[in-house]
Amino acid sequence: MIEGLLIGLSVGASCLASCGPLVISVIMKNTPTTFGAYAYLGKFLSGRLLAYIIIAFMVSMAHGTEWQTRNFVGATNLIAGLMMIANAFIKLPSYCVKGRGFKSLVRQYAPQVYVPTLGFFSAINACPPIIAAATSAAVAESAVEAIMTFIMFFIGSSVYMLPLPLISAARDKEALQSIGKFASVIVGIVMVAKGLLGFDY
Amino acid sequence: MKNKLYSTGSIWKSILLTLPMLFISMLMLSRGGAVLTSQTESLAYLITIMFYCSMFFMMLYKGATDKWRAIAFIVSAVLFSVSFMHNLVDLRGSVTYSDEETMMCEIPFCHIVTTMVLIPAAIKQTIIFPGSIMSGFASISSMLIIVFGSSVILGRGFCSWGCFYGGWDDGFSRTARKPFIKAVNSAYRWFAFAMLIVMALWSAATIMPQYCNWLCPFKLVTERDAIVDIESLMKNIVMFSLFVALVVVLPVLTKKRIQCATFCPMGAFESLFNKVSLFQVKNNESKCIGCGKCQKACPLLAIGKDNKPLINCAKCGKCVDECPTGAMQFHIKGTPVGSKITTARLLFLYPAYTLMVTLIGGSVLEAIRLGLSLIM
Repeated sequence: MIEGLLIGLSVGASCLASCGPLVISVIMKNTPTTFGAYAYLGKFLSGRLLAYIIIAFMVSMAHGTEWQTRNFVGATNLIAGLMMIANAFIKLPSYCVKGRGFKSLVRQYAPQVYVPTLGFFSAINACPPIIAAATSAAVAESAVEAIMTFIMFFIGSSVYMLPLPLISAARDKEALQSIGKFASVIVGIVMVAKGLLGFDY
Repeated sequence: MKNKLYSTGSIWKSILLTLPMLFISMLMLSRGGAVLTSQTESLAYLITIMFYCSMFFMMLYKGATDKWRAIAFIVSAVLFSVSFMHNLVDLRGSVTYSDEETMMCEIPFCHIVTTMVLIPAAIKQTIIFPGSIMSGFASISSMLIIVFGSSVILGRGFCSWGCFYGGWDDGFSRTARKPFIKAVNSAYRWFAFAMLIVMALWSAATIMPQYCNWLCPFKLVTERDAIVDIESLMKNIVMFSLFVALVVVLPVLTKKRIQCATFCPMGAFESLFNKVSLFQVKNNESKCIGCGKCQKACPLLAIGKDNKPLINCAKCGKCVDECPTGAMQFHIKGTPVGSKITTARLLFLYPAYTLMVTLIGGSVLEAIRLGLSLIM
């Protein structure tokens, strides 16, 4: 377990570089208050945690390699990329919209689900930090131990993401929103290309 | 026609003020005397110095900054490409580079890569570029020193005075008499900042300068990947398309430097230095009549709705030249706005022009020497 934490802390900068563009684009595009920005980060990380738990479970079941197939990762990249492009064009209300009917239901829950889903799909990846964590989890004696290793890895790597929401404190909200919107499109195109073409970078 | 506000008024005064630039050009382009070994080289040296000094003289005598800067800047960019590509053909036999050349770490370092090497250098103490750290042409250390040194003094002025690519889209943006697309959404200026964030982080994540790898339009006029597989073919198609769209077609249609204004991550990075740089462009509100000519003229979408220069101003001087009341002016940080504006402009011109001569002049000299060797 401690090994998971140490791996997370040592490779967290890579996690920041890989997933940072997604989080920062979502935060900037939706220009919340600093508190709201941390709420967005929390939602993103919750999706990431769920993905890690699933990966840990799969790793312990499949002895470490089976989950890394290229098509699988390509599909998650594609979904995350499309979600990022969508992020540029939709407005996520930071509050719950109450009402009746399907439309209201979607408006009520979509913002709550959207960012965690993005975190989930971006975390299902074959990037070096996850491979490092998976290698450690693969030698675990049980699924619970593998999951705990990944949870500790999650804690260690998430530390690096904590300063990101501070960008919402910038004064020029209009500029911030435009940059977030454009960054979402660029990240989305990069991820879609990675997903479709199967590039590892 | 002279700009009476900034013109020195007399030929002799202009010549006298050009003399320091003459000495600087002679020193910077001499390469310790190495260029004076043959008649052709001496002539090329003379022509290069005469060219740069005459442009500088005209800036002082006529009082217009942008017009003469643009001529020097555009000619420099085109001749830089000629000289650079010729050198590559001489050394490698081709303007493309293969995996072997990449492994040899002999790729010249370009200032745009700065935005992508900083995070990995800070976190992992690794320079993610296959170039030479200290020795050879365009070594990483020398380029970083020039970029940071000039940025502190000139801010984003680097993009209008020192960048050896900027002249390409500056040139194409001046070809049409009137813009075919009159209104360019000013929000696109933030696209470059988005590029900066994404490219810096993506490059750090993959330990590879991804903008250079996939997106740099100027690879077309310098060096590029040899086409050996589908991936390298795609890279070449992407870069060619971006060059045509961002450097040729859109600048012609809009009369704006679209590549520099909206796409270049280095431009966004340089903009961050504008807050601290010694020289700035300011709007003297007491003189401004709100005519909006500066907004229309600015090729980098860098003038806000209130006619004030924004963070992405590249100090090309176009708004200063266009302003009918002299409200737009060069300014030295820490001095009162509107005081000694002629001196402020002059003090800005020396380091800015020195940067151009130092950084691009050598390549211009080389290209002229090549041209002369074909004739003589």
